Amino acid sequence: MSANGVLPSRVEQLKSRELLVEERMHLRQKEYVNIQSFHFFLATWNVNGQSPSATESLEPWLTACTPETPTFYVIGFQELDLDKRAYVIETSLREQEWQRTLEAALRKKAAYKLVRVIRLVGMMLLVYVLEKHAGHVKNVAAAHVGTGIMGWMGNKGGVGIRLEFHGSELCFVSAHFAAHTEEVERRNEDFRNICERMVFNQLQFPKRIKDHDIIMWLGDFNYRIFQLSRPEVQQLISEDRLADLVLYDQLQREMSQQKVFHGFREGRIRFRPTYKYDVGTDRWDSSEKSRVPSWCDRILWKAKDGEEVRQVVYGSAMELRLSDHKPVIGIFDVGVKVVDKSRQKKVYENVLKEIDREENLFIPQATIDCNDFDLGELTFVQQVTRTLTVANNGQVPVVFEFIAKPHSTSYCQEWLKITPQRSFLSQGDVCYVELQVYVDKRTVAGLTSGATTLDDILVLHLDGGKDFFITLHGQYRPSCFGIPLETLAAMPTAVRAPPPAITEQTLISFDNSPTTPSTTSLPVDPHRTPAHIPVEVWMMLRHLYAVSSDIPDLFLQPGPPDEVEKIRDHLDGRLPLPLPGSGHSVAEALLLYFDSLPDPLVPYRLYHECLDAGANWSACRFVLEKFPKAHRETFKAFIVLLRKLQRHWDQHPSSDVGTLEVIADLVLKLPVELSKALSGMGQVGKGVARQAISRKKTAFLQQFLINRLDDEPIIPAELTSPATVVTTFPVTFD
Amino acid sequence: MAAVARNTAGGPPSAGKIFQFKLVLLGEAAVGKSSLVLRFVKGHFHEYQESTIGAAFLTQTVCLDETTVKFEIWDTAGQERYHSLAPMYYRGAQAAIIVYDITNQESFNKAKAWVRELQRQANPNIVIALTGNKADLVNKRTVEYEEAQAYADEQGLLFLETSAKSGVNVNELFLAIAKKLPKTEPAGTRGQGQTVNVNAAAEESKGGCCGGGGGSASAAPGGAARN
Repeated sequence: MSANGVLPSRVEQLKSRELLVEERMHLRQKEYVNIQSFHFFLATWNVNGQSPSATESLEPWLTACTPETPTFYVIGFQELDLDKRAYVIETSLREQEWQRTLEAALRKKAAYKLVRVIRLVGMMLLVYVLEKHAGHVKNVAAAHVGTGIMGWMGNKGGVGIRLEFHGSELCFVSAHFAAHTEEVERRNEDFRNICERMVFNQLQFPKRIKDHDIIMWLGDFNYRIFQLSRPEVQQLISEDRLADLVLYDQLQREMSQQKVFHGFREGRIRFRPTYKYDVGTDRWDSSEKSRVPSWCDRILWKAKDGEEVRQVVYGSAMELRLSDHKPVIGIFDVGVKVVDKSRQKKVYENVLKEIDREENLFIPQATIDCNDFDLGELTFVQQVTRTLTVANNGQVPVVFEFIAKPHSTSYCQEWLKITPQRSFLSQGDVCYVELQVYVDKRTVAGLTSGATTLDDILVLHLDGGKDFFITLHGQYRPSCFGIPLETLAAMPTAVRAPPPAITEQTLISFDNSPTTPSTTSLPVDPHRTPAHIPVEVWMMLRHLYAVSSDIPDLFLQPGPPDEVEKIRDHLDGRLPLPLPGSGHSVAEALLLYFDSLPDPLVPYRLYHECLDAGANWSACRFVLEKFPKAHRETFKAFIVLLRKLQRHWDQHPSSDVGTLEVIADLVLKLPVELSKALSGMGQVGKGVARQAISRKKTAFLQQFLINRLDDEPIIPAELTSPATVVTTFPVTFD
Repeated sequence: MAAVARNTAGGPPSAGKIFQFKLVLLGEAAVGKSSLVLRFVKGHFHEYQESTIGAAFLTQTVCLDETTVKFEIWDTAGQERYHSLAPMYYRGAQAAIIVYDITNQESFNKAKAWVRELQRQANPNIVIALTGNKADLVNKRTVEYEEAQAYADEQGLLFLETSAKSGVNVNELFLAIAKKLPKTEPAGTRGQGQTVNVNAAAEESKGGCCGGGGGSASAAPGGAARN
């Protein structure tokens, strides 16, 4: 259903659904149709290029031979016009003459309506229906196929009309095959050709002859009586031994060998051969050619299983003498499927229900093992992982995907990582989706301030199916990371109480006085934290300052994994120095703290001013005065540390001028709008701009490293006495 | 291969035309949204229907005299904490069923809130049906039929009381919606560019408030279950 290019579009789905409904309705047609018998009158005549005779009535042919009133008249003519011009002229006068004469004859019987006429050169087929039944005739189409000269000219071939009467699909073909006794194979070929090439393509879905319930062929197929001499034939005819004569009929022979008209039936022939007579008489051909009498003109039919077609009459009209052929008549009772509307509606509803059921069954289905994850309590840089199990228990493959909610661009919160976000599941397959929660520098400030929480609802969408809602909730345990400098500096107590075990031991070792729950601070030593610098930052600065002599390459390499977490806990408890872990990890933690600040060490609002002041010491000093107190004092203390470190870096072989740049980048953080502007630039321009900015940032820091402020704090060089204020109560933020 | 011919020969004259509509069910938790859908689609009823945590999707077709309507039904979670996700489902919907429980006045208030939200946020031409479910629990009724009917009339909503348990008025509800939906475009073009996938961005039609109903108030046929 999503436009992923794999599944069909809705339009296609609807179309295919409509077709499916039609197909099912067709298959269940029996349930809602009644078979009702209708009279069909078929006739064929090769008129040998003659005009209708003024004196010779068509009645003996068309109306006299049946007392009933046929519902349909299907009349085929051959050799209407032997004039060569008929090949090219669209409308032939002869055609109109015959049609008028025909209609005059039919009018005497009843009111008929022309359903369709089609002509190809000398061949013409007309279908009439009793006017009162005309409303039940639908989807009429006609087609012609030439098989004559060059294999396609219209002197030979066939014309066809197909129609639907009530619920039955009928096809009539009038044909004229190749002449001459020896051309049996040509005639067979003509039949195959017409079957193959005749397409009723005026319909939305083109049909061929074979696509019909009932197919009727009529025409001058030109099959002859063979293996007998003319006298022998005449002898048999005169003795009325037509059944014996039929044994020598090429068509019956070819059909019995399944070479032509496969599956077709023909009524028993009880009429004399229809060809060839002397015009105007009932005498056999007296010309030089002296043709052997033959049943050239025939009517055959084929019905699908279950269809009811019964031939009532099969005969010829000897009375008509204007042609060298006699016309042939076939009258049929055809069982037509007449739709019962109310039954049809029931079946239709049933079919739709069935399709709905199937469709619903094939909607992708899956189960999940949990839709409510408790993440527990977690803090900065602490990873929590949960696993969601998605199982395909449906009937079809499933594509699942976590999708974005309204008014959000991402499918999950920034502190969450989902792997995989999208996946494919075969039937019966299971996928384990990892939900990794990790609060880092990007998200810590929001969680600390309470602007965001560790809550999320995920929408797991099955492509083409349902959605699951999965709730995640956890408590963020504040850490000093992410707390603004001012706030942290003003906090009288630790972010979090140290674990009880540690508290007791350490507190007693610091101070011999017994700890009391109401104690908020301990006696402060001479190395107390200077005003406006957060205790936690001071702890890190002191630690780094003290160990820098032993670890000259501080800030030049990262510490071992997991140590930052230990340092975090130590800081959050404001436990006594030294901090756990290596100096490198403490350096990392300090930078991480700066990086996690909602407003960086150099406040965003002063960013540009600092960059502009870089070349000028007094300007630098001037802008520093504008810093909020906590930022200013912390900055100054940090400079003191950096100055000491820089001396070491200068001597250190692995020293990298880039280190100061990295630090400058964290301290002078690019304001958001500027970073957006930068990312919009081209690669080259971006690189150049970044370099320029980086130079300015470093220059600003360098000013403070080279020059010295009068009121820089003094960081003790040793860690021997407790420098921190330790408290036993956690602080909560709002 | 089926042909267009069968449209006339095999099916009702215009039954070949299938119109497809997206329908969403909204309402407070436990009023019987999923039960209504299950009754309608599968003819089942479970006394202890599981709470929907997400949005279930099913399809069902309704035959009218002249046309056929196929519903793509999104049955949503009723719990308040999922409220903010509802636009994913009513966005692009042509019909909505807002369900309350006739034994729970609060659920009726919530239903009214949903009506207001749809009138503000949903497709301005959305057909809304207000449905008082659990009509079989008439002894515990707290929301009067007349009150709900009057509200529905005022807002131009279809209104029916249903019982997913007994099946009363369930088919009638969907049928009434199917009848009221406009069937102007051929099936082929309807739905083009519309979103079935709630994921896809659908334009939010704001400001198209249809409050006041435009005089199209109509009660569903068959009458409501009034006991």
